[in-house]
Amino acid sequence: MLQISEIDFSYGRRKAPVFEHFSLHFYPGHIYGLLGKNGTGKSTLLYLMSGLLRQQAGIVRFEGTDVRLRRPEVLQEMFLVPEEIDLPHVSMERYVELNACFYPRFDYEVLMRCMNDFDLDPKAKLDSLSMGQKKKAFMCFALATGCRLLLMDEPTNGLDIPSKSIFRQVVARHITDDRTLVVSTHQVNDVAMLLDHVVMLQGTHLLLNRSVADICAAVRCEERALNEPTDDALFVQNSLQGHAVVVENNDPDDETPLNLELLFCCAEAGKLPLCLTC
Amino acid sequence: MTFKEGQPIYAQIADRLSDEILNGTYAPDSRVPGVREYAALLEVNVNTAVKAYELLARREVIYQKRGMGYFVATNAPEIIRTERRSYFCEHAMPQFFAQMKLLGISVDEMSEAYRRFMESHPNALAVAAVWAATLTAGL
Amino acid sequence: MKNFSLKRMAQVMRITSCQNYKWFLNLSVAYLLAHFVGQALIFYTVCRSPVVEEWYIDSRMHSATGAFVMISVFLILGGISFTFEVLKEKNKRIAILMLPASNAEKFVARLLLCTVGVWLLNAVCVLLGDGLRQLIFLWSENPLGSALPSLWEFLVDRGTAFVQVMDAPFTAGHNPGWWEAVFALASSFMTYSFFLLGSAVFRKQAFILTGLCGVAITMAVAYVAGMVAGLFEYSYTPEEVNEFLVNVVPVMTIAEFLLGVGFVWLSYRLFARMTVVRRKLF
Repeated sequence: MLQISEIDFSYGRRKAPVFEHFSLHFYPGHIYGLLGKNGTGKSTLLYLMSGLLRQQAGIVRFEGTDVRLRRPEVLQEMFLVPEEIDLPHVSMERYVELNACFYPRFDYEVLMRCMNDFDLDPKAKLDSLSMGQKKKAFMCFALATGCRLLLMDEPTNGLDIPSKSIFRQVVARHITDDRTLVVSTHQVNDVAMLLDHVVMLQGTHLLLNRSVADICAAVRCEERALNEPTDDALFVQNSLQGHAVVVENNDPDDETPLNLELLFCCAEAGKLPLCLTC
Repeated sequence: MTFKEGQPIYAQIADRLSDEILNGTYAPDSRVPGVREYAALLEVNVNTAVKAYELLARREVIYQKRGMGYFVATNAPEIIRTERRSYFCEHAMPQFFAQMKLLGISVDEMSEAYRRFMESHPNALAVAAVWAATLTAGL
Repeated sequence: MKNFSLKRMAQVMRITSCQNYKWFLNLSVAYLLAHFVGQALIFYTVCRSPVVEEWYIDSRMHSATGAFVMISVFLILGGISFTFEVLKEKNKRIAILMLPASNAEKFVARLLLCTVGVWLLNAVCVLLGDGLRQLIFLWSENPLGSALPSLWEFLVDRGTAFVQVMDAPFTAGHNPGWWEAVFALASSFMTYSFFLLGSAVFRKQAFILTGLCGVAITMAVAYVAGMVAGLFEYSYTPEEVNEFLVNVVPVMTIAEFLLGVGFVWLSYRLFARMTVVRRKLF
């Protein structure tokens, strides 16, 4: 659906490169998690994917069309929910009246259901909402547009705990098989259960780009008591019970749930098994 | 839903649906929630829920009717109980007996404790459901 | 242009005006005040004295017309300087750039609002400013009527003169008046589109910055032209100089027209290539 091919990008000629010969493909029907330490360019990547930034080399194509051209046919199928949202001084009803006409598959019912789930008033002026509420309202709109590629930058930042749960429910319900969601986040635990593909960035390149199924087949994330041995572990981290370890999985039928935080630390430390490295 | 580590998520989801079948929430031959609906309820990726349903379908606990969704098999509760029973006998019981031997608890002490438990807990089902879920490996 | 949808462009215009209506309201009030203050200043002395001579009233009306015209010019140039002002904020940039419409549709929509929209707004504010002045000055010693008839007379007079020049048949030689009239048009077009380019380049405080740039460029050009002229000997007769000037006007007209088109095209290019993270310099 979206192909990033060999892009080079930096913010200025004298600034450090953010991406070098970077390639990544996104396919429909998946929920991608984009993880990485601060400053690794997660937001930058989202901007490059949506044509909001222009790379110095390489090309980003959405279904064959270069996103830099900003063709309406492409923009109709893409929606970006940025980290900070600026909404005009109109109510959601009015906002929909003005904006929905640009999205041919806009579904008003989906919007109302989501607004209801989040307990938002469609008649309230959008710019009078709190930051968290603005985000929720904008996400409802994003899901209702029916566009095939949804990009979200730190969607759970600023959401209260019940809202995070509702966010997960709403996403699980409305990301259908022909849609793709890319979530860039630090709050790994907020979205861990939703993801079916993990992308980790480090420096200017990819650290990990695998489906959750592949990762779970390749490694196990275990909690071991202090007295249990950890020599077979690829990566060890201290935990309340003793040690959290990542070990190679030798039994494809016996998997553990994925502990994304642990895996992230493992990847950052360079301790991923060869079958998972890029 | 909070998931525990040790067991794959899809297996835990299959357990949960099995629990609901056992406690009568979904009667035999009635429809269970759609895959997407259940995924949304548990806040997980749809593919994970699909895996859980496929697992249950393989065990013949649920079956799929074309275009209508998944339904509880007529003898689903028995299937679940049988599987959990055999798992309990194969895994939990030996561990329990080993502990008994280690701590020096005799069979008579155990019988007496069992009798007292049954008297004070007439509704053993509720307690058992929780206990069974922590033991079984995805039915 | 391929794929240009009028309907979508109209939708972009609707979104731009409705979502920013507060800003437009503020602008309208500012325009109204500008005209009102201009008029009030001119009529202040007159209305305070009980007895005023006819010729003085006429001269005041004449000044009022001038004020309307001068202020209108400023406001119209200011209006086009606002074309890209909204793009100074990152989140607004994201919203505008991600809107599913082509770059051309978004550009033309904004352009129409900041040209035709501003002309209409200005016209309304001229009427209201005059009306407001009359209203406020009703309590003065010598309230005077509307300055609009005087303005209208002036516009009609200038307009017919212009049309006459354009319509006049070409004589056996040339019709210098015609070229001068077209030159005036081309210059106005070039200045107008220069301010449009300024808006695309500067975004914030575009009007002032563009104005300063314009002044600087004009001074530079005049200086260079003077230097170049100084290279030639001062041995030309007034007739020869006149002849030269008459020949230069058509060339300059075409040049200025092309420059104007160039500025508009450049503004469009800047807009189409705009990214969410701003360039450091502007």
